[in-house]
Amino acid sequence: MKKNDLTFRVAGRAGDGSLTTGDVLSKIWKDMGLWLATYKDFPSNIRGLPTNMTIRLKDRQIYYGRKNRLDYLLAFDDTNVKIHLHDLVPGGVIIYDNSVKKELPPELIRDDVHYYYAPLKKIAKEELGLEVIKNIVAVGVASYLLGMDQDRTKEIIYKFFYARKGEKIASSNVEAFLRGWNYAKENLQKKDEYVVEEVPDAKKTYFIMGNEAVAFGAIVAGCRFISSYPITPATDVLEILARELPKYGGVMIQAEDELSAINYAAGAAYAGVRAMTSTSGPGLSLKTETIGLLVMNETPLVIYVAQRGGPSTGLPTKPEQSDLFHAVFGGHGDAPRIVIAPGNVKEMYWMTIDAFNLAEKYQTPVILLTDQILAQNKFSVPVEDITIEGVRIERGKLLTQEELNEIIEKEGQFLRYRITEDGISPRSIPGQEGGIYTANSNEHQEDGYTTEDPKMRTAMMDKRLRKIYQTARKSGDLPEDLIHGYEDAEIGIIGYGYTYGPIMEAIENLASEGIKVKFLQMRTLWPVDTEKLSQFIDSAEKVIVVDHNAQAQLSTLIKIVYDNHDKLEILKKYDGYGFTPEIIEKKVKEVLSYVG
Amino acid sequence: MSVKVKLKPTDFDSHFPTWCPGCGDYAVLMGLKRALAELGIPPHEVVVVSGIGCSGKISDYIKAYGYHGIHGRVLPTAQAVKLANPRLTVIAAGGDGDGYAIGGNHFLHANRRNIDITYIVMNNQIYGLTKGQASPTSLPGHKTGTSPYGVVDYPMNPLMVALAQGATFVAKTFSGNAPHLVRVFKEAIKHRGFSFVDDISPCVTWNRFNTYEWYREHIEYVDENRDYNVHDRLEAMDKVKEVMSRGKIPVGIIYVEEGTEPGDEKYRKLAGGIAPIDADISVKEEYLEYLKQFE
Ligand SMILES: Cc1ncc(C[n+]2csc(CCOP(=O)(O)OP(=O)(O)O)c2C)c(N)n1
Ligand code: SF4
Ligand SMILES: [Mg+2]
Repeated sequence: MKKNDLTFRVAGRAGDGSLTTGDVLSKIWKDMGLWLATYKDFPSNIRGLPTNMTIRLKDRQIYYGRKNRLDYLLAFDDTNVKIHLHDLVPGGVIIYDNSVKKELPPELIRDDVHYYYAPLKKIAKEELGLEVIKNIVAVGVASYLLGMDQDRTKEIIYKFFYARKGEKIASSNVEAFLRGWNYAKENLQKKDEYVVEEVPDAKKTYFIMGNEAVAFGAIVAGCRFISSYPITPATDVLEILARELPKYGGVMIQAEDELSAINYAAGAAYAGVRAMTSTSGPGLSLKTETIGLLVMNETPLVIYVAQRGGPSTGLPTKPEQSDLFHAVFGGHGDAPRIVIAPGNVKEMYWMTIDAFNLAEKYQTPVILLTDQILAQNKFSVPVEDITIEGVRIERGKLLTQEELNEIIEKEGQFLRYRITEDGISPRSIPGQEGGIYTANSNEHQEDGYTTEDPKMRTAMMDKRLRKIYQTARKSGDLPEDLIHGYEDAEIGIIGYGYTYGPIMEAIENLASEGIKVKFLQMRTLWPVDTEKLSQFIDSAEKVIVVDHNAQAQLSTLIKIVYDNHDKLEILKKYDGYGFTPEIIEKKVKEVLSYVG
Repeated sequence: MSVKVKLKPTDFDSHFPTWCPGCGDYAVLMGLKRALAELGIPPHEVVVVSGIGCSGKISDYIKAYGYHGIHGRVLPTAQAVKLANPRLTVIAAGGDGDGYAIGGNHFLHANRRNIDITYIVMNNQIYGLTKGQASPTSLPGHKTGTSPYGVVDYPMNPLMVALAQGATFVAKTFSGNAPHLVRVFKEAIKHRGFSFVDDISPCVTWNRFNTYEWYREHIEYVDENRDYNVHDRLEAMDKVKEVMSRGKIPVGIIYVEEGTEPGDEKYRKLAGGIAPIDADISVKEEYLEYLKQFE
């Protein structure tokens, strides 16, 4: 019997409701006390093309929603059986909706896989009069086959739909569930070994999407202005804040384009409001000129970037980490900014708060860099990982009217861009008496007035560099890069963002085979903590850089800041799919084979 | 706007401009100082957001909070300053290239959002700072650096665009007529909503075709002996069309819509009347409500 450890995929065509089926199943399993992680794989299209969602569940912490091999496939048509057939493990299961094609052709029959046929669509249409409800019929079939408790599941489904759609819809969904359950009970003979059972005394968790965690982080951090232009996979943040910010005196402006989005946000930030803009690669390209402006006029702004496959429109709904160069170096001129990258949902929440504090303390744009996998998938997180306890709002050298008066009294004048030892100047906001200055995109002197004086130019540039490369770098304020796994391991791995998930799982799997690995999870991508990075590289025999793009951007970034390259092994991928634990495990073994 | 205080235009003096002698932008600077002083708005409650161009330098030359941004992005910044803090008087200012070419899209949308700011375009029908290239308002046949055989494209009509996009205050004035300009600026600033002022601001260095004299010959004041209803959008459009059909330039307050709720107030209403600058950002228990949906 295989209990409470399952990789389950729902696959259909866009419009089939595969994602809804996945959502309902996840909700049921979550309420049964299981830990989950999803992997949504959908095309950039509303109807017609194949779409699927993978849900992984365990009775303990789970890092990632995708694996190479699959246990369970729920396929709404034969095309989807064909696509996913060879991902199934021996002993795996296919539930096939045979409403249209009664039998699968011989080439889609594997003799090491269990097949269950159920006319889901037909039951929905003919017995319930509503084709879309086939999703819930499917849930009924799957629940029966997985040996789940009927009453408990029924209750969860009822509550789920009752809360969203009311009594009538809740009842008809329960009815659909029962039809599926009964069909399975009467017609299908359980042959496989998978079961999912309620976990006694389960830990309380939230089941939350990365974008939902970022939006919450923004609210808690005191963000009261967002302006963006819709783009997958970042749009959720804009939609959530459109709904939530007005509750707290905030404003959402859906901008006419990304050029304006970031400038709206900048205007609010300049006026003294915590502000952000959110986007993905194409939007980041349009926002880039303004990032340089914000470096120049020292305006704090959080820029949330959820990466997707590029270049150009690229793979709009698929993951990639190919905007690293752009995030770190994008734009003209010397424009250092802070780039931070959370690796999981908990960090997405906390590092959003960090981003707002860093932006104001260092009066700089901060890029919060994530990716489609973290942004759009849901993960179980213990409730104590997302709390408001310990949240601090740090506004740096933003002056009150009294502090401004004191400066003027003491120094005779207020200089917004005063050249200070730490590179950070006192900041006034419009409306304050005595705080007048021009936030200037031209090089400027200490009061903000345009200058081309070579001495002043040099001093101003040095000041802007100093606050990032010295003050921020040495402050302990930047999210620390973390070392996971076994400190004394010979093989190291470096990664950032979502690859935290598959790498952590690979470390666990390898450990069970007696292979020790350590992992440097980079969380501040710029400015890089070169001491920690170099020590990590020096302490290993070989270091695998997990790089989800074609030009090995993370590896290149590491090479720029540290010249001991010989140890680096690049593990690249750019086919539109996330790394899996298996891919990483294989690479580790390959490297081990020639290290020792 | 706050309590009226006695102010002089010189209270807004800052660095001395580096514009060419005779440049139309001087009149805009003077006129703005005068209008603000006469309206009693103290410098620290004024924000001048400007673009890039000779005209864009204006935020450097006036004592007020300034934001000298990048080319074309004046309007988003300025609108957001007002949305953030409604107690500020926000002036957006830039050139015809800045506002009608690279920033053209924002012009369309600012008209429809109707946020309570004043937008002054110093329209010299040329790119001044980059030394004399054609702009979207350069007239066909005009020979410039980028139109050696004369401008080919039809010029943009900013007044008609603003009127068509739902602007609630549309005016055109002339740097060669300071009293008119001050009067228009004052009305524009007082208007609740997006006020658009296209100012004819001759470039004496790079536009030797559209000179002060040329403008004087072509201007027709629509607000002296007004013969149409200034509160009627279609009549205003007809007037602009009619004047232009005779080869003339309509100057004056073209259209005013009163009583329409400014966009920033509408957004504020959504937030229970609180502006972002006044929002409480201390960490609160009530935030936790949001997490219930994930339990
Ligand atoms: C993105 C960008 N493109 C081009 C420029 C160069 N540039 C500076 S000002 C300007 C045009 C200025 O014309 P206008 O807006 O009419 O202002 P004027 O100088 O006439 O007042 C251009 C093209 C720039 N600064 N930024
Ligand atoms: S070049 Fe033209 S627009 Fe620029 S300052 Fe001189 S006159 Fe004015
Ligand atoms: Mg111009």
